[in-house]
Amino acid sequence: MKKYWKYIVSALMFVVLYLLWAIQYRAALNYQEEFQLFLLDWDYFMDHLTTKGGLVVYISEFLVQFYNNYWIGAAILSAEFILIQWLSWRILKKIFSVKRDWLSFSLSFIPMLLVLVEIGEINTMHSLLIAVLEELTMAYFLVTVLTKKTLSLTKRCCILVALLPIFAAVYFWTSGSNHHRSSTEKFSFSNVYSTGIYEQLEYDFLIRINDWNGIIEKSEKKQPNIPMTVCATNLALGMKNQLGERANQFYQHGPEGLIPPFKRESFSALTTAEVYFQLGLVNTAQRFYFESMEGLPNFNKSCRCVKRMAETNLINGQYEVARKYLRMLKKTMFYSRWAERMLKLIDGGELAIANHPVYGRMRMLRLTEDFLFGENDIDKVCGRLYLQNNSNRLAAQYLLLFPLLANDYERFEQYMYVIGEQIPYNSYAEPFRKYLKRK
Amino acid sequence: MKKLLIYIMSGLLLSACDNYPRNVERIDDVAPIFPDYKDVTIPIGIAPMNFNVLTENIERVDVVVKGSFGGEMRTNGKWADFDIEDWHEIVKTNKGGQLKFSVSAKIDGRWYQYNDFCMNVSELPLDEWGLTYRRIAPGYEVFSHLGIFQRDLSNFEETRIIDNTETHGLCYNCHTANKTNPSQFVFHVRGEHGATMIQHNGKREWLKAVNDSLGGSMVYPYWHPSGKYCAFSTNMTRQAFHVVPDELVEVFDFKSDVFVYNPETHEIILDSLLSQKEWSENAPVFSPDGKTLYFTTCYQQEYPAHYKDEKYNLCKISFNPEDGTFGNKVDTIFNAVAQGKSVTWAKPSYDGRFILFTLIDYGYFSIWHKESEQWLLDLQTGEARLMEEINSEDADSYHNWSSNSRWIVFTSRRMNGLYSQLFIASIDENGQATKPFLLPQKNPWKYYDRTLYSFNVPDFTSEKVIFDEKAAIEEINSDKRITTKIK
Repeated sequence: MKKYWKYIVSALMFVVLYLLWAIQYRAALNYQEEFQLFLLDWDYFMDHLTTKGGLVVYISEFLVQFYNNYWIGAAILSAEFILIQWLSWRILKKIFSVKRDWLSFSLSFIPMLLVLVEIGEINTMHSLLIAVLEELTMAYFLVTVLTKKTLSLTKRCCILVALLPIFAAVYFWTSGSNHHRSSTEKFSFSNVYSTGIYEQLEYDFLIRINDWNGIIEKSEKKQPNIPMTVCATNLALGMKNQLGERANQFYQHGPEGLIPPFKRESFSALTTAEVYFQLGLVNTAQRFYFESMEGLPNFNKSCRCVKRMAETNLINGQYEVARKYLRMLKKTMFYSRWAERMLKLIDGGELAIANHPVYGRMRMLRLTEDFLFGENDIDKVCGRLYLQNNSNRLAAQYLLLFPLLANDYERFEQYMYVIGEQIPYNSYAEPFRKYLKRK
Repeated sequence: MKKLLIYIMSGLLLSACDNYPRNVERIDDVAPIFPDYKDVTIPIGIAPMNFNVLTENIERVDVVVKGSFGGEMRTNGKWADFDIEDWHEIVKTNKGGQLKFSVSAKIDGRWYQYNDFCMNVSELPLDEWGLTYRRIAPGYEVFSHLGIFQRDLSNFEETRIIDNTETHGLCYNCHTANKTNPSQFVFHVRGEHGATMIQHNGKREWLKAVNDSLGGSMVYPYWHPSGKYCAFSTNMTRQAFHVVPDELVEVFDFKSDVFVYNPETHEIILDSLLSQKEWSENAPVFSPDGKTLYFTTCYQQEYPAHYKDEKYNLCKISFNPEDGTFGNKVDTIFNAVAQGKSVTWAKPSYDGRFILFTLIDYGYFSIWHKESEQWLLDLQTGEARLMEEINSEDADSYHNWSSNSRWIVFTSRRMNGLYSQLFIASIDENGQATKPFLLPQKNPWKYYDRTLYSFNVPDFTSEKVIFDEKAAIEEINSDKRITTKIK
């Protein structure tokens, strides 16, 4: 038992890390995965191989694509951490004497913990782990050669010279890439495992998988307090047709808590995009998904955005663009089968799409009369959506809540006459009664 | 051992034989090739017109090219990938003639031969080194990687002039050379370090992006043929977004004026006829003799409520290059408003015979208008006609002429309705254009299907643009700018 204690400690560490990533921080894995589009083809590989540091990015993106399933993703990520620790131990073991193995082993956790801290900043790319692993591997070879006492100095020098071109090539392919998503933003300690930021990631993850009950449960446990989380809660309530009944049970953030205004920032645009998508404003949703992807500071493409854009183009009947995106997704590991199904759906013709439970419905919800969309008139847009198709209950709920959150009771009264009692509206009733009383 | 070697060699030979058409079955149709190069007219010196055969389960393509004036070449592979030297040779030999393409394809292990198709080799030379264009995702307000690039037309080499990899958040646009000559060149930088860059014989000048007296920045440029002036518009531009499926983005101006800039004195020459209070003047261009300034103009509308009423006419005003003064009369030379339409991107041919312009239902930002079409105005007869021979169902938009006025390059979204690509067509002395061809690529399907970029503001360039990008980026970041003044 004494002989294996180090392995047991490492294994325990693996389990701790695994549970951490698979349960506590699964949304962070989702965040990494949704903002890349790893293509399993030769050209994508060659594109990376010809750029400085490209191999690290390529290997990292290859591994990050598995984060699509957070159970597998957590295992990969934890294994990478343990590998860092294990390599650090092997290096330190060669530097310190065998008698001090306990010291080597204890110190070997430091690099791993440092990386763990850095990864805690959500915009640190996971290519950092691969770069660290590569550097540790090179260091291991160097230390092995330098500490090999059975070899003469000349032989050691010869081996080092022979290894030099290999190191140079590895250095070209593995260094030079920026491990922060943005080259202009610096690493910030205050963001490391920040509760507020990780909470947003969790909401984002739940929105992505359309787990509306999950969002409501989460909000019930802890009140949402920033526009993005308030927006997610309102969307979830709306999707469950509970917004009218329960909006007053949650912290509100004015009309911006219903639909946050456009920001040149990838992450928040995703939430807003989803609200527009669910409302049936397909063009606007497409714009937000596009902007979200284009806003990525590392010029990456996003599998989540491309997937949604394939859908919005499909709904809009822009089949050639939809096909283009789907052909791209066909080259991925996790979206390939879905893309094939969608391509078949397009080939199936208009009737097949009209009968599709989501896309067919979206087509019914879309506005047919054109106008220029304005963020300031979103309640009016919701009104048009509802008037066009009064099965669009999300639009009806948003329509009533907008003026209420803007304290515009006059407008609320007008909308109430249109919507009447078609949707549950208990949470609106009290403030409205007060208003009527004052009136 | 000997036997084994014989078996291996025989196997290799047999598989090699299998790569060439045997027991060919005929298909009474033209091959489904991408790009559609059937019956296009190409200039001597153009890069190999490689193409893919788009059919399921295709394993190999075999193409034999025969020239009507002689010459033969063959290519065999996963797609039609012609040897560059042989290609140039056969095209040169067949100037004014035709190239006949016999296409065979191996599908599911069987060889099929399609009907032949032809390409015409023009007698009209295209005396340009290549193209310049901007590569940008067809987005809305946020932009990711973008840059100004140049492409050698005789091969597939694309090189960067400047991009935003090192200058994140900056946008480069409206790159314009003087009659395809890159020794005089202008482009804008938008964003935190905004500027208008003018390069003349290798010397760069960075102008302050906004002239306070003008109340705006320099926007759509066009050089005076003498190089002594550059006409610009200054636009207060906004974007808005449609809600119906066929339309996405609308770009309109709250206000715009036209002026001429003198690079030597850094002076801006204004004229009341080009900056009328209730009219938006836009997209100025000089006539080849430099004595006329063409521009578009529309009556300002209330935006966004009446955006569909924003319709531009094509007008002209005389210009005296000696003293930089304008005439006192504006003439309408194409009344689009009378047709309920709007004209944009008027570009005179350098021989002075034609004006190529784009016609849309309203507004001027044609690339987002599916109905956008190319029209040609004959300045000799004053008649304008729809260029059916080059237009498509999707937006056909921004264009430019080659310096000999016999070729045009324009953007079109005909491939998929969103991503604009570059098409080239020849135009004869009577204004008749040939079927346009998509800018050739080494492996066209892979290139165009994979790209998430649009190609816009294309122009020919008589020679390779020499631009010191590294120094330019330093100058951009330095924020040292020359202030322009109103004359």
